[in-house]
Amino acid sequence: MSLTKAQMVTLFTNLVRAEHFGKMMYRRMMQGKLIGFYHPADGAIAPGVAACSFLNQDDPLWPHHRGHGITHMLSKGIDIKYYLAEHTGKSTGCCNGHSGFHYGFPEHHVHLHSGFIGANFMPTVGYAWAAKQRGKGQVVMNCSGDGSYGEGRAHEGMLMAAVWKLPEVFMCENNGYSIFSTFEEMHPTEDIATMAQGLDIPAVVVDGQDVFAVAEVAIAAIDRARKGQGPSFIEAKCLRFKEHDIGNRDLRGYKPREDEEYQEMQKRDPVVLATERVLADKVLSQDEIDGIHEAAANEVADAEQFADDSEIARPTIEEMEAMVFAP
Amino acid sequence: MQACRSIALKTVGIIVNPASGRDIRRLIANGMTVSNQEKRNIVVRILKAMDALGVERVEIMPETTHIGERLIRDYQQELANLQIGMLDMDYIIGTQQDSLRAAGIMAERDFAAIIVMGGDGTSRIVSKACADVPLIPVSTGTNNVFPSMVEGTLVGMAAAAIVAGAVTLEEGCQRAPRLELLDQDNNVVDVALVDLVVVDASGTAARAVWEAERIREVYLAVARPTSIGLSSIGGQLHPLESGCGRGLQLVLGEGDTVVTAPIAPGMLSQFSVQSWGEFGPGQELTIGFTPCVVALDGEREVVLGPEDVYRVRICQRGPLVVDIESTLQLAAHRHFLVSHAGTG
Repeated sequence: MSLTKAQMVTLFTNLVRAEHFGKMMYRRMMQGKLIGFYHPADGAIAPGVAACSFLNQDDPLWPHHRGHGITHMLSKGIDIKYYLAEHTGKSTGCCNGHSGFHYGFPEHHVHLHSGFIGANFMPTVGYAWAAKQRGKGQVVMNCSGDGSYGEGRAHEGMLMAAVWKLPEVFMCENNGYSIFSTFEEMHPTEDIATMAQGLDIPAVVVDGQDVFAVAEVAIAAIDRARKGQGPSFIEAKCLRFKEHDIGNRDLRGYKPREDEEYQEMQKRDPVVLATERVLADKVLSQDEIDGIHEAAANEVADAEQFADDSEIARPTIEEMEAMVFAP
Repeated sequence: MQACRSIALKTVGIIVNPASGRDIRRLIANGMTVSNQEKRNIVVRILKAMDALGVERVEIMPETTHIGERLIRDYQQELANLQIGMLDMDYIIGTQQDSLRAAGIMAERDFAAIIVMGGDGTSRIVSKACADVPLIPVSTGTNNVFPSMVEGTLVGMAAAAIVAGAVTLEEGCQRAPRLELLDQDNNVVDVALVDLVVVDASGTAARAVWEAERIREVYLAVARPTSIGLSSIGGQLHPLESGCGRGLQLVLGEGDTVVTAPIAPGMLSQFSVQSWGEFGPGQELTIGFTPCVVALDGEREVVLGPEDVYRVRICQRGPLVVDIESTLQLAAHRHFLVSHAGTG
């Protein structure tokens, strides 16, 4: 189905929220208010918003590691303050402050979030197989970057999903970089979508800076999966505005990325494009847009307050051992 | 026999839409996928044909997947005469604006021809900026009415015949009609080469149109029963002869006439037609259904509010288009590819 006006408002709101949370995370990392690492998603938030804004509550989600899945989770309806508390090492976090930023939200069907490239494929295929067996119409949303499609697990996972016609959507957020390596260095073809075509998985390439374009494709792919028509592959071509992770230089190969590249990218900021679109399409007024930004800023401030006011997690050894599979 | 002629004349431009043939219709219909590797292969065959026939200079529009750069890297050394270059553009942004700007630059620099690879939408964008540089539209899209599904080798041969002057523009080209969308102040807001369709939708989003129940009005410059896409609705009801200079309007809704038409690959839908009729170059028809989204050559482009009063007209101000079939017929008749011993 083409998007309704209400769906466009939902997408725009989630996109703005994702942008505000992303800027806050960058600032807090620089302020030393987060533990571990943060891998900013600035510039590439549209695919996650589009993929997750219309999932059902019981649809398993594997968020992309970039941006630590905040974009994906908030779009699925998860309150980000519990993630922020987790990443701040607080006891109120989604894993009681024990996980750092490799978390799970099992009550929201986010079962693991890992930094291992390509770790998503085998578990998501397992969840998709289980979803098919259960027959309750669940769809697995598997979001990951172009770098992960260089892993053998990606090929194996897509093969199994295709052969067993599993209800899984492969959302490839292709920002053109695998950490420092360019896409051209890592892949012989122009698109990763051709890998899926080789496995007879219907594949679409879409402008990943355009949240509305990605959303229509994502909804169609989710619908196919829910109807039992098997997996789909979406390659959302997007941009990475920032460094791979905070603390490292932003390199292209071994050289800093050119200023010109940054300047050109800014013209395709997903929030700027979406704002132009909702105004041109007469979906929202400027006053309404301002209100959405204000609400997002307040939501972020509340989340920070919650995280800052919470107690630092001080688990005992017994408590820590109780939360891992193989102590 | 290896050709040895050299055509040190104008440059041929190539615009490849890296996004064509891979949109949402792979999911909601069974649209053919045209990978960018295959587009690259098609360009290789075009280049080899032009090289063999002595064309000396081609410039390719840069785009985000680097089809042109890969071609230069992998194939330049195989070409005897032809130099492949990338069109000098200050920047690319990964949207249809790149094709628009590339066509404008090619027109400014007076290229001999522009080979456009994509669907109807790609040709539409290029036609807005190419002025009188002839287009050779090659289908790598989903619904292809305007561009031809033709082997790349033949495209290169036709381009070479035009560049060499073996076939003149007057002989090998036809001026295409176009539909113009006019606002309240009589400004041409946008154009379509095949179909302008009024859709009951909220926004442009993924751009493609596939929901039959949302289509309200259809304006056609081309209506062939052998086409798929939105123009097929008219093509099945009242075919227009190519180049007749007239348009066709259909208002959908409660009516006695029901048309079954293939609006996407494998997707035949039924349309109840309230009224329909031809319209001529002097007529301007007012869009009756608002608010709406106007789709141009299959892509949702312009959003109209409830108060907007926009009109549609047909005119003969479309691009010059190379007719590959007649160009190659004439070239063969003139022995363009034939040489005789002792005559060089």
